[in-house]
Amino acid sequence: MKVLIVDDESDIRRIARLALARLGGCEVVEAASGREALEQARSARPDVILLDVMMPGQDGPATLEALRADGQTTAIPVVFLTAKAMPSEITRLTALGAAGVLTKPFDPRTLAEQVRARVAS
Amino acid sequence: MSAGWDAALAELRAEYLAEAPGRLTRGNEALARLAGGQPEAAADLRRVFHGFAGSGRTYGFGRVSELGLEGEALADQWPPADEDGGLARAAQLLALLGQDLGGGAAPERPPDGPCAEREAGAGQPWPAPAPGQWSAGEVLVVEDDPAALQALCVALDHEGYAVRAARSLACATAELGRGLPDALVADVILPDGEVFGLVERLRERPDTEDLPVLLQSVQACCSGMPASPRACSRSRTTPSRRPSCAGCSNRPATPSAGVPSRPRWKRPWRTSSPTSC
Repeated sequence: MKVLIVDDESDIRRIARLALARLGGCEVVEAASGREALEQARSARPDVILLDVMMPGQDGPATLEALRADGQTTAIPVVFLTAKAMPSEITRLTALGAAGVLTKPFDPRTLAEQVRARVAS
Repeated sequence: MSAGWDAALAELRAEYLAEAPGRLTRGNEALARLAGGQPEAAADLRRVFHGFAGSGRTYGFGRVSELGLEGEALADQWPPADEDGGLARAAQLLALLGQDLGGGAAPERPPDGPCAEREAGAGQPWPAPAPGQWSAGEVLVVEDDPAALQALCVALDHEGYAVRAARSLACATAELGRGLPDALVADVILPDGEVFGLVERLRERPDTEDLPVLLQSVQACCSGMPASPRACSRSRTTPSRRPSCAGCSNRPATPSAGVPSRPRWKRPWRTSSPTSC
């Protein structure tokens, strides 16, 4: 499984990469912004995008909207990563068309398993 | 879990800790701008707290996430009803994050012993600092009012001083025992007594007899200050806009008063857990 990690925080990208690659056996590509995510999604063709909600500039929901509007990326499942664990926020993000929502802070040991479960569901 | 995983995670934690001071500095800078009347800095402060909220527990620092979440919520609703209180709390949160992430702390390591544990030494001469504990451009601020403490810390930090803070005589004594600052800024009346005794003891020690001391008092009259010129380098009334009387200096310490004009280095605030003091 190829995963595109999108987060403006480098420490989150690093540990997510480690967790997904080392424990989950995933191939990982990274993007530090919504704009970069669109480029990477088109060029790397990931199987799933792990997308941070709160980013400066183009945030997660806006990035998802752009992904859905692009014929090359419209079908890629997106799993949001958010620090807001409230049920209302999770419902809102799911309603946008995300395959799932994971909350930060996350457990790196189970991250790959959780991403796979969201995509499978 | 494989040993390889543990080693890789430990490496990432080390990187995380190494980057923490830079993040805290950005937080302190945003806080200084907020205190300086730039409300747009709340967004920058929020980002710093948001980063810690999302990453702390992931890296094994549980309290970092909690502190980050509180800070994020605080910055999210800026300005709070009590702006001075909000600034003070934000400063405390950054200081606590610094405690948890400073100096290569191990995950979930409790902060240094609370000041209460050191209060047994209150009123007693503090131990001589170990060689190398001297630091340049460092000011110890002793103030029990969180808002005033925060304002002083922000102002001094903004000027480039490294700041340590204490909220009582006992904490101040403990802080002095951990290392002598280059200058002391103290409120006169503290919860556990007046600061004059502490200053007198400073003057009795050869290594601190010339330590610059700036006393602050709400009494806008010289009568509230010790007459002895040995006692303090300067005094000022708080708040500083209060009219001064003849003979009182309302100005903060200047290089001529012995306070270093520019620090030789700067570091994020290190306070002595004001909440626990």
